[in-house]
Amino acid sequence: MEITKRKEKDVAIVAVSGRIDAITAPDFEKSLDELITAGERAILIDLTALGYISSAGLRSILSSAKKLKALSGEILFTGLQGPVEEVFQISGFKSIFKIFPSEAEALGSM
Amino acid sequence: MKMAENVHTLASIELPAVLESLPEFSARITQCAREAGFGEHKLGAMELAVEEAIVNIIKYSSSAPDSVITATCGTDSRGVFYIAIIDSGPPFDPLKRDTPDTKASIDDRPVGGLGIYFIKEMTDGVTYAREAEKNILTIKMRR
Repeated sequence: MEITKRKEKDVAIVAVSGRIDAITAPDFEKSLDELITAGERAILIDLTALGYISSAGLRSILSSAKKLKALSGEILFTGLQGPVEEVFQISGFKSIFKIFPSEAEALGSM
Repeated sequence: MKMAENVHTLASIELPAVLESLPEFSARITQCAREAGFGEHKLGAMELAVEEAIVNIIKYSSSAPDSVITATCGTDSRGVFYIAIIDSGPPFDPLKRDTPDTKASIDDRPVGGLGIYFIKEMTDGVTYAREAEKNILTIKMRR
């Protein structure tokens, strides 16, 4: 798993590639937690290059989303595709999170 | 070990019941299923199911620290593929867990509880058996 972070307008963009499984999920959650602690309130997660996610990864996302929501912030997604999209579909994450076809559309919605 | 009637075992992998064993279990089961003729989509589903089953044992089964998990794969005469995940912990049927409410909001949704649901949704069947003091979770996959 590799995480790349940057900032666009008031949105922290987190591009994650590789795999978020039971082994890497704690590091991913830590990365999101660091952004929240640093004061970020809008986090856009780009899943374009993510090849695999398991329930451990969804657990990290939900946990961070709960923390952020309590601070009136939110997590958004873009780049949903392939097996990752299927996992989002089955888990219901596709309907409880805001998901955008592109980064530009996500930023435009803010 | 009895997976189903007439199952020809293709591979059997025994590793310590720790998270660090996960990549090797995944790689070996995926290789076994690939050799049995499965395509990428089903291989991905099986990889996910295997991770969820193994993580579930490591997290919830309070077995001894030096315990192991065995994973076997094989096919029956009709070409149905079986993956069995076996541990020697106390009796534990993960299939008895409640189905998560996948429509609940971010606030209302409990963190966790999706692993077993994924196994049920992404495979062609999963059964639990307790035999010879072992928990046996058998995942079925059709081509």
